[in-house]
Amino acid sequence: MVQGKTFAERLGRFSVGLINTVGLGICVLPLILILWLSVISNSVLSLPAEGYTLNWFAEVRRQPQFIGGFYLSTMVAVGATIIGMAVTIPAAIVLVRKRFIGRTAIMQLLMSPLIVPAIVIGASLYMTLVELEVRTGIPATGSLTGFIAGHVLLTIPWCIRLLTANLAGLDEIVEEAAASLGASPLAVITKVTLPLIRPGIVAAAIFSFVVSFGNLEVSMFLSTPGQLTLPVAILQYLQWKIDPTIAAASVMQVAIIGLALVITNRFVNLSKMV
Amino acid sequence: MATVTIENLRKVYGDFVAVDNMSLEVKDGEFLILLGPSGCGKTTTLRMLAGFVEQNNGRLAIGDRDVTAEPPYRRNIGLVFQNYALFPHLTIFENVAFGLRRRKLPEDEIKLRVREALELVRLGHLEDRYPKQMSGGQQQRVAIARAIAIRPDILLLDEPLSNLDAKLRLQVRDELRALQKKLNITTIMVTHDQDEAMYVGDRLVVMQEGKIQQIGTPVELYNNPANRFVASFIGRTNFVEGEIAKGETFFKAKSGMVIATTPAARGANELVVRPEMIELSAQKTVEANCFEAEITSSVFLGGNIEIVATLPTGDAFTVITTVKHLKDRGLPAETGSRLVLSFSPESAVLM
Repeated sequence: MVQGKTFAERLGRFSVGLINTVGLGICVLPLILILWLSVISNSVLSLPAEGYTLNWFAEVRRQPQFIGGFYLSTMVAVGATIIGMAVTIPAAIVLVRKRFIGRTAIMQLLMSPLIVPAIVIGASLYMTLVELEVRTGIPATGSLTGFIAGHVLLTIPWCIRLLTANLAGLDEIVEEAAASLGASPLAVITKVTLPLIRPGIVAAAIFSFVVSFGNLEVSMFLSTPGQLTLPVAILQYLQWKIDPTIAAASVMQVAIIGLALVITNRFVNLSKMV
Repeated sequence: MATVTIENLRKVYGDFVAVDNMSLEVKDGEFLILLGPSGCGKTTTLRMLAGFVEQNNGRLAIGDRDVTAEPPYRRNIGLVFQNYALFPHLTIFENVAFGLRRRKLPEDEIKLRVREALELVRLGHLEDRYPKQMSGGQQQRVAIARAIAIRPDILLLDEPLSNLDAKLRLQVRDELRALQKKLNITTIMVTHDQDEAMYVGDRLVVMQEGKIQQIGTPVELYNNPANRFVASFIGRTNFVEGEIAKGETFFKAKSGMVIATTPAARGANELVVRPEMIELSAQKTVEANCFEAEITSSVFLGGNIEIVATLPTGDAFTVITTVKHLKDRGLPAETGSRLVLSFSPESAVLM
């Protein structure tokens, strides 16, 4: 493109460039800061840096609560994602394809975990699970089932949003074409609808995993001694010590999720979906 | 291959009557057109036949098989949609094979039938492509192949040519017509385009406001429209208002103009003359229906020319003739020129 040469045009171009650069910088800065803090040799998280070391990454591996937390977080996130998808896919199909009274109200209700403070959800879940334990005698708090149940709640709004958006973009005529060719309602869903909303399903699964894996507020209430998710383990560690180990643990967490995204991106184009 | 019976079909949406007690018999192997403006009920009728819309009342049968209560996937109907509705995630081969796989046919049979169907639409060489890699015309031909591969009892086409550009539309139209005759499959097509309808249809059903206005071959509808709506929807028409009593042979127009007709079978107060039926000449002859007029507009359309000529009585007639015809007779086409209009009493249709 031929660009204008007047002073005002040059100034305008410069301002836009500056705003864009500063905006991008502000977005990336915290990540760079964490990465930097994870390799400084200060024994307390502080600046300026006295030197650089990779010891903190080794330190993470020596902390059993981080290792255990990582496993528990992964298991909870995988479980919450699978169960979350299993309930939200049929729910989204009903919400998009059927017209019934209270449809919009239900949509809004399913979005509410995004609006209600997570700490309130955590507290409510805790009280419910304790009540359940008292009534049935089955341990609920601190159990994998309890964690997964709580986290499914967190994944619902993300899944519903992404799946309904994808379904709304799918022309119903294609489903009718399948039916006219002899596909039963079940075959229409498995052979046409689901394959066509695959991008939405993958995006919803990724969001579910990330939301669950990084959640602190709900997990805090559901954790019992010895049953900590990674974010809760990090918080507990912080109560006694502030050293770069937590920065190293965070970097590892970011790296693992980042890797998962890169691998997924090889199979579906993520930038097209979200 | 089968006949189609529609009996007292009715569909109401709230206060709106989409299809009003429609009854119709489609013959075996016939190419029938449902024609009408948007909102006339033609698409609703087609969707009821396909089983996507449930009728409030009435009966539907394909051959001897009553399908009134059958879901779409058990009707064995081939459907072609306006926007093709191919499966974007499947190859052309798999698109055509879709219906065959639902029927659990053996793999060899599927291959054979897919190839056969794609050959019929001359797309056999593109079976590995995906729909989005093809042009609109090719996609519509794949959709046709997919519909006929299941060997349906009848074929339903919902405005299949509307999304194609003008040139392609004619080409696919010709192919569709040839294919339908070759397979001799009972076909019902919905369209709002009267040219398309007249070109491909054995019989046309003209609909308006949920009701059938007239059923007939293109020739019958053109020469003997049942009412003003049909006359204006099929081709161009000159209307003259006035009156004629039963048995009379002179139609007295409101303007004072008098038009000779064939003996009226019943009283009528409207008369139509097709623009192509009007002759132009320089001199008044002794024939009936000979009127001096002045050209008030003329539009050059390539081989044809469309002239509007106004009589001293104020009646304006549209005349369509060829440029060659005017030239051969040395007739003018300029606005303001005078000439003589004439038409036979047979061309003046009463309604």
